[in-house]
Formats: sequence, structure tokens, C-alpha cells
Amino acid sequence: MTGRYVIRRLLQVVPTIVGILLVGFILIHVAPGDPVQALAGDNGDAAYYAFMRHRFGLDLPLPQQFATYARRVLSGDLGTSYASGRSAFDVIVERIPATLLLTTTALVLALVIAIPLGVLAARDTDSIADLGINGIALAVYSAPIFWLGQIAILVFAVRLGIVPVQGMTDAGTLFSGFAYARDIAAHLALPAAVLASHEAVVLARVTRVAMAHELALDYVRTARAKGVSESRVLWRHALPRALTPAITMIGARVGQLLAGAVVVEVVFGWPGLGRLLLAGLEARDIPVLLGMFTLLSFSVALVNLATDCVSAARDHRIRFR
Amino acid sequence: MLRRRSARIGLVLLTLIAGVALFAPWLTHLDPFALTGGPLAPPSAQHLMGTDALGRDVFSGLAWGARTSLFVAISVSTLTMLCGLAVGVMSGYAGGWVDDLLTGVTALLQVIPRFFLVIVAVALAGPGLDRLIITLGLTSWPVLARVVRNDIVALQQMDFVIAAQASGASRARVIWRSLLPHVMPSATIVIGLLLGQILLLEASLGFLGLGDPGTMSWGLIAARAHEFTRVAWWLPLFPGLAICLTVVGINLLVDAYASSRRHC
Repeated sequence: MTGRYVIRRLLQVVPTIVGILLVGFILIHVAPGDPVQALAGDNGDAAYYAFMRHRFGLDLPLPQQFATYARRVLSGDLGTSYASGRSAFDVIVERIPATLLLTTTALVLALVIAIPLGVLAARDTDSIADLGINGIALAVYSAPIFWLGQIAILVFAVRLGIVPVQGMTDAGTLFSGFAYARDIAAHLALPAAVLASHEAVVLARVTRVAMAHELALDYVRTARAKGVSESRVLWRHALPRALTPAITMIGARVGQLLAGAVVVEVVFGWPGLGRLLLAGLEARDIPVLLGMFTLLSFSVALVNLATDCVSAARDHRIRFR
Repeated sequence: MLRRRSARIGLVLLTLIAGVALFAPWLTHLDPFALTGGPLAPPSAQHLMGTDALGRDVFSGLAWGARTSLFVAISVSTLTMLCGLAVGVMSGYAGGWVDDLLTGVTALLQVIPRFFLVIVAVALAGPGLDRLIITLGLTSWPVLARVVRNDIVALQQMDFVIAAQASGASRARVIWRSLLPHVMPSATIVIGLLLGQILLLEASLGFLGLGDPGTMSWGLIAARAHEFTRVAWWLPLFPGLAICLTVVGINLLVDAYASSRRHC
């Protein structure tokens, strides 16, 4: 049964992918100037423009143009980076590991902090712990993420000197093996914590609401009446069911997580997509920026697909919706 | 609604920020772009929040930046309100293939990461507040449209709407007099929550240098702080604090409004 849901959900991804391609295509055409300039830069000569026009099918009628553009992008051809003259796809892909390391660390960190907090807040609603968590949550949620990063640098790196300020590794030292991993971890700690804070706040709130809902249901009363210990009721009975909204929320917020990651990377000099984005903006490197938009949109669609499938596997009612 | 303490705190914060924005020229006589003091001077009587690396006054930057932030936030939310209400009402009232199509477009726009879309749009069209407002406004409405659509679909089952339709009221009259007034409370809550997000997004984009370089904004000041965090704590502290307090104020008010609606 889950198989049928996954197939149905997979089919829904196709129009999303087409839609994302269409948005990119529209952007190139709506921009002022000749669309070929968006792909080839302002400084090409006539022959190069003609070549690029042909390569991306810009000399064809619009529907065929879109078909050519879509085929190009789907085969991994995002054009050539103006800044480096290399394939935009390669330029982007080589930055992905650093960003992926940062985002996954932040997400795991957020889950580890948020789920217990949400459970505890739901156990005693309106207690001091609950109100305190809500207050901190409001402040963190309302703060721009670059500011959290700046303040974290100010406090933990400049004043206390616990962690390094910038980068992914110490410059000038060549570590290998375990020492290398420890060096990266030291540099990763602060940016990952900052990125995690926004996610943790949202996830804690979602978990709290879902837990409060579960704890008011009959099966919890039954379990308590049977003499099941309170911690077992919380963590084994109620929490697994309360996790589904949190999983959905992770899917719904991937876009924001990635945007946050890019900003955090700029603040901390983390060598991922954020730095590439900043360099791309300075050079107005459209193929790289547009390619990044397209690839990140695809990944958001795929993560949504994944979280939906996980939810469906966990909660059988979802499949029939 | 204002009986709650959190709502009053929110109101005070927002009044304060709006007051600073409105009265910026009277609050500070310093031009935010002019070099009025020594570089990186710490906060003093003359420069309440210190100066930046070129000797520009941070406080006057914040005061003028408040205007930019509020202008962007209000413009974007007006655009969002128009788009969201139009799409939501059309989709919910028309039903059929119109609904399917609009729901599809809404779902697609929800998947697309707005932040990166705005970046590409600004990179293509060049930096400027107008582009920022248009791209943010044209991409922020999906959540609102979804809420409005679901409200409209549910409302159409209600007796008073059916009665209005049966009494021969025109379609426009039913939408305007029967449906919209009942949609507005939830639409207001969604817009309020979006308002905070838009301010944060605008600040982040300004931080990356995507705002209008000729217009003072909070993100711009924060971006200038970047290289001097180590030596001048006041540079990163104040612009971020201003944004944070504004968004806290908005969220407190929205929260209070939402719970006052829930209780009545």
C-alpha cells in the first residue's frame, strides 16, 4: 500500500520539476535585455552569442525554446560561469559537500535539542519552563540569522575564544586523519549551532503542540490508568505519534534552512554555496546563480517527497488522503 | 486584545520603531551617509550608537533604515494581500479546473525557495528596492491564498451564504459582503506572520548586498559590520537588535490577535 502512495507522490514531482524549470526560463526572458546576455554575459562577441543562442535554443519559437532549455538543464548543463569560465554545474556541485555537512549537522542538532524541549514543555503547559521556552523561542525566531551569527562570534569566538572565528580549517596547518576531523568539527560547531537555533525553535513549538494534542487523547488516559509510567507514556506512547508534524515541518522548511545556511556561511566564511553565491552576485554570474536556484529548488522538492513518504510510512492514514 | 501584557509590549515596540521611522529627520541631524566622526568610534553622547569604519553615524543609519524596512514590509504585504486574496477567492469560489490550476501554481510556488528566487531576479535586473518589493510581493502570497481558499470553500456551505445566493445577490456582492468579511481575520493573522518573515528576508538580502546601495537599510548597516565584529561590537549589535525588536513586536501582536479571535 505504501508503494502505491510513493508512486502517486513521485508522479506529483514531475509537474513541480517542470514548474521550477519554467520559473527559471521566465526569469531569463523577463529580465531586461536580450535573454542570451543572461546566459553569456555582457562581454561576448557576436559569434559567441550566436553559439550560446543555438546551444540553449534561443533561436527557436518559445515552446521549443523551453523544451531545449529544459533538456539542457536536466542533463546537467547550466551554462558556463562568467567568472571562472568553467561549467556552472561543476562550480556549484563542488561546493555542495561543505553546505551539506553544515545543514545536516544543524538539522540533527536542532532535532536533538527541540524534541525533548517540546515534550517537556507539553508535559507542563504554562509552567515556568514552558513560558521560558516560549520567550526564548520568540526572540530567536524573530532575530535575523546573520545577527545571531555575529553575536555568537562576538561572544564565543572573540570574547571567550572557545572556537575559531572563521573558515572550515585552520590556515597554515596541515592536519590528517583524526586531527583533521577535529579541526573541522571545531570550526563547524558555532555556525551549525547558529543555523540549528532557528530550526530548533520551530521544531520545539511544533512538537509541543502535537504532544499537547496527543496527551489529551483517550489512549493516553487509558495507558496512565493501566499504571504505565509517565515517562513511558510520554516517550513511547505519545512522542512517536507526535513526531509526524515535526517531520512535515522539516520538509516545509528546507528552503528556509538552505537560505539560512547560505547566510550563515557568509558570516562564518564557511566554504560552501554561500560564498559561491556572494562571489556570483559580485560578478553577476547568472548561470551560477540561476543554476543554484534550480538545483536547490529541485532538492527542496525531493526532500518534500522524502518527508511525505516517511510520514506516510509512519502514519497509515496519510496514504488515503 | 490589548488586555494581554504581551500585546501591549508588542504595541509599544512597534510604536517606538514606527515613531523613529516617521521622525527620523528630527531625531538625528546627521546624514546617514555622511562622514561625521572618527572611524569606529564607540557609542558616545555625540554618536549614540558609535560610528562605522568610515565614520558614519550608526544611529542615524538605523533611524533612516527603519523607514526603508517599514516601507518594504508595508509594500510587500499590500502586494501579498492583493495577490493572496485574489487567488484564494477565485480558487475557492470558482472551483473546478480554475481551482485545480490555481492550487497547483500555489503548491509550486510554495516549493520554490523565495530567497534564491529573489537573488536571481535581483542579479538579472540589478539591485533596487522596487525589484526587491515586486519579487517578494509576487512570491509571498501562496500561504495566504491557501488559507483564504480553504476558508471560502468552507464558508460556501454555510446557510447565510446560500441564503445570499438564493436571494439573487450578484457574485461580486456575495464575495464582497458575505465571504470577505469572514476571511479577513485569518488573512490578517497570516499577513502578520508574513510581515515578520518579510522583514527578516529583507534584512538578510540587504546583508548580502542585494538591497539598494543608495538607500540606508538595516541589512546594509549589518553588512558593513561584517569585517569589524572583532574591534567594534556596536556595529553588529544595533542593526540586528532593531530588526529583532521589530519582528518580536509584530509576532507578539499577531499572537495576541490570534488568541483573542480564538476566545470569542
